[in-house]
Amino acid sequence: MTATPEIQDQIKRYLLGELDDGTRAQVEQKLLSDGEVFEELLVAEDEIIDDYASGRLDLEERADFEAHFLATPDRQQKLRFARALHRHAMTLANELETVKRPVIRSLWSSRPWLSWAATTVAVLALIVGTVWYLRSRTTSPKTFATLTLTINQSTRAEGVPAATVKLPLGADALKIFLKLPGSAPPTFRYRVVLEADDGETRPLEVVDQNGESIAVLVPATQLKREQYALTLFRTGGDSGEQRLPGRYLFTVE
Amino acid sequence: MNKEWALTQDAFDRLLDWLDADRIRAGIRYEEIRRRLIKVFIGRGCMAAEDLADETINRVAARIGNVARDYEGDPASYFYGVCQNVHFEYLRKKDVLETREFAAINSVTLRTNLADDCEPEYQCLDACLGHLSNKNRDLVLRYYQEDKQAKIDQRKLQAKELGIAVNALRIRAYRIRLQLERCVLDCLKNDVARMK
Repeated sequence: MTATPEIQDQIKRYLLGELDDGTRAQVEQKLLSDGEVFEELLVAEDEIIDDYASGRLDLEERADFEAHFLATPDRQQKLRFARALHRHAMTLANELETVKRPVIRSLWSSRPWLSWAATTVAVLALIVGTVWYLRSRTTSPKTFATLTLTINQSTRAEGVPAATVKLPLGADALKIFLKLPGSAPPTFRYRVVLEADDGETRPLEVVDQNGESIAVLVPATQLKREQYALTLFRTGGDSGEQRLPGRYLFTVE
Repeated sequence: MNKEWALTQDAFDRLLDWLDADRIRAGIRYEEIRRRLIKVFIGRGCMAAEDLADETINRVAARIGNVARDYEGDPASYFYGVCQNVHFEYLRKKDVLETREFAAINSVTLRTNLADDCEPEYQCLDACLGHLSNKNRDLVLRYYQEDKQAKIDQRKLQAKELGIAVNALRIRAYRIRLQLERCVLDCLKNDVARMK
């Protein structure tokens, strides 16, 4: 395939509906007359869906993706397929990790000298590991499952269906995009509190925001099978911190 | 254009002749153009993309006598010009009700999608992976295993092991994925049929 990075970028923007009419027409003409460009489009469609499903699109791209790219049922089906494929691949990766461990144990028992060497290595590894751990505690998770939520003005008791997330998550963290009720100036700051069904609450880090939504992260290890509600607080303007009415609900199954 | 005009066998044959003198190659070219027109209409957010692509082809076929005689250049460009007109008329004709219905349906479907519900697809995928050769199954699952930098490194390693360029691996993974996607769609349809 001869698709250059420029064409790849144009195709991505075409798929997100970000091109002006003239450039869009040029891309469409290439799609009709050039088989390689057309194949590039097909590949790019899958990649952009994967990026969306794994939370790798920024907020603006996500908004374009949902408003433009997901406009047809075919593409919505492709998104469900991508999520299933991603989950399958991650489950397999975890299984492979589990299978490797017994092999290491049998190697250990058949070669006693390994234990001396390993002890030395282990001491060194402990030192290096401690340093690494202390430094990496603040680093972000690498893989994400995503969820987009709209604020719900009613209470959970009224039986409003909440979005669901299934465990195992197949990713390091759940990235939740909270659609803001109405647009807000980008200078506003937000604070989010996660409340579990048992009443336990904890603050969540806001990792991204624009005028229409904000994104927060919940590490996969902190999710249990229960219902959750997110409360949003906003600071900005003259009124100090203000709790937004309603909550964002989701269920972990 | 006469809206009642229907594609006749004669017009279709002449359309194929225009696309290529060889009938097999002409058939392939026809399918390519139709498939690409559908993508163009989907890219413009048209729900009835297939119908609009067929309408475009019908219009070209309806004037194939003049086109074959007078038009010079890649037939795909001619189809594109007609497709522009078809889309323009579609936008004009689309009434408010249809737009509202579409928005409502789409909004419901979108919420379903955003809720991360892929369990039926997951079950079908499990079965479909079993239909792949071991080599292809390993390729596609490894290709989609990692994320971010780890993924880039993993794919470089995978391409090296296979002795191909990363872009060639990308295309290979895409084609296997397409096979899986079709299998999953069939599986979902069968499940729905069994439930009826």
